[in-house]
Amino acid sequence: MTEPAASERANRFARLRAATDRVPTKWFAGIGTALFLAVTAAFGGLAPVAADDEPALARLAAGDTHTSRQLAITVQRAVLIDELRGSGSFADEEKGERLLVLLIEMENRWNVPLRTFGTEGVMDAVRLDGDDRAATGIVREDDQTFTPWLQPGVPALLVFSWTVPGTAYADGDELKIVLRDSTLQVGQLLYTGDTWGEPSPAAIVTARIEDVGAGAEESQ
Amino acid sequence: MRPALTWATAVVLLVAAWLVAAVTPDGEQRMADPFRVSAEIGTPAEGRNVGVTIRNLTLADRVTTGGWFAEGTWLVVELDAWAVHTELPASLGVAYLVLGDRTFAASERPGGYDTDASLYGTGLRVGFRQSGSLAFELPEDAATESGTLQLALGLTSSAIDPEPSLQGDSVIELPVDLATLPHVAERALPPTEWAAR
Amino acid sequence: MRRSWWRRNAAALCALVVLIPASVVALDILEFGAVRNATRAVAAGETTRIDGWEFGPVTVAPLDADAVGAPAGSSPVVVTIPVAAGPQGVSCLLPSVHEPTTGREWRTITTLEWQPDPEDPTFCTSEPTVPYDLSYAVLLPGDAGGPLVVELPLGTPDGLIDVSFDIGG
Repeated sequence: MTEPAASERANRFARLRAATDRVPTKWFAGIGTALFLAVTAAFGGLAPVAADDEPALARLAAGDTHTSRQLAITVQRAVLIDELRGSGSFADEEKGERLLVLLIEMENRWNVPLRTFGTEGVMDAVRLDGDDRAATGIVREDDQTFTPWLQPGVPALLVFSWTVPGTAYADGDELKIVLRDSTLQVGQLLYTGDTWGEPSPAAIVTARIEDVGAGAEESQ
Repeated sequence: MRPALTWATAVVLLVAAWLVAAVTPDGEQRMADPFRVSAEIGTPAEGRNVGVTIRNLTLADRVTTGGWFAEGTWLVVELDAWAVHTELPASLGVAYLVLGDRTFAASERPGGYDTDASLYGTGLRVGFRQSGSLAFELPEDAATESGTLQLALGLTSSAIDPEPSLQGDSVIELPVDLATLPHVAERALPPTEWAAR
Repeated sequence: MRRSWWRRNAAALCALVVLIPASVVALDILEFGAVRNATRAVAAGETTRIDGWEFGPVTVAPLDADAVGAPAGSSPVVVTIPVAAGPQGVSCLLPSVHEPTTGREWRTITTLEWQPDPEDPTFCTSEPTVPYDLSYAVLLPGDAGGPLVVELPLGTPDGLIDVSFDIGG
């Protein structure tokens, strides 16, 4: 019962071998490369996306609002201060450190709550130009709630603070603040749920720094 | 067996398999569905690991506790809560208000000021009911919406992804219509206490 | 006459007799055994030795509910774990009280008006070479009768061990 099938299969293999025998071996490399290039071309080419193909960054001033799918961000003030209790940031006086503080109104434009300290991109949304650190302290301006949650649609006035060398910034400096947008990545394969990632610069806010010295009126 | 019988058997089995698949609820996607327990105001609702009696809901323009206050559009939910069989762990950390396509989590702000000002994230006890409140900070335009209050044990950090945090266990659900609730100018948040038995 | 069905299928049946229990063992002990902690049960009034440390006999003593601010009708208790410390490497997590008859479990409570002896350490430490007591308050409901078990998870160089101390009625 199996005999005729086996010999039929053997015939097919033999014919295939005979056919491939006629193609010179070095042609296989050429054909393979051509196929590979054709397929990659269909998927957009081999060249990586040019990193310095800078999309036009919006130029904003203090008080202007930058809106992304996730957040609406309004930088209101930039302040240089010796220390600010309750801000989450600490300046080492002996090292000559001070705090750079930004007063920012943020609104969660997404449909679930966001943490200001998590990986959902809120912490990554604000950077001082030339400094790739996230803020060392993020608190609410009204009740100093530490690393607050942002509820959807509820704006909150936040204090972002960085510990900086005392000589890095001065009163009257035009500070450039980079606002970065994160993209929503829907869970795939093993990961359920959505996450935000890949923060990339979307706007630059220029704000004049006010040096308030020891800032008695700022601390609570 | 004769070929005709073999083929007939195969077709019957295929049809049967198709019927079973069609009748079974969505298989893998539904495997982790939460076990929903419906609640009514004033009536205890108990799931596998958590029980609550929601006593009332109020909208307020300003909420206070001790020296802390906050203004806005706040929903205050007063409730008793308890753990059913184990306190290890039993944190009331899943408290969502789903209005339309937005999900709000209970506010961490009152509890951050005073741990006795909110039941959010509180460890519940077996054999003891604690009475207190949950406060939700909402946008102004939500004051007339309707939706669902969802309560379950879990970590407060899971609010960033509400759907997965509800999977696989009991969730107490109460339909809410904010437009029908009393709306007061100011509401003092009740302190967390042992509920009278 | 052909051989009986049993003899014709003897090989397959033998395989089943071996494979079915083996699967149960593999799925339970091998798969989940790696995830479950090692356990050790200690009878009432007994002590147990682990890595040169001695624990027990564990006692549960009642507190006055009104005096410590516990709800009326409740049974707050103090769980006392005598410890004779050994070399470093053993650590204790917080104990919990279990009621095997109902499956209920309670953790410690710190908001009652009760404090342990300030002389005693509050966690497992090798420092005091004299034996000391670890004491914790646990709030039990008034109906938590019946035999109780105090579970104390211990961290050792070989991993976690859940030690269960029988308390009795």
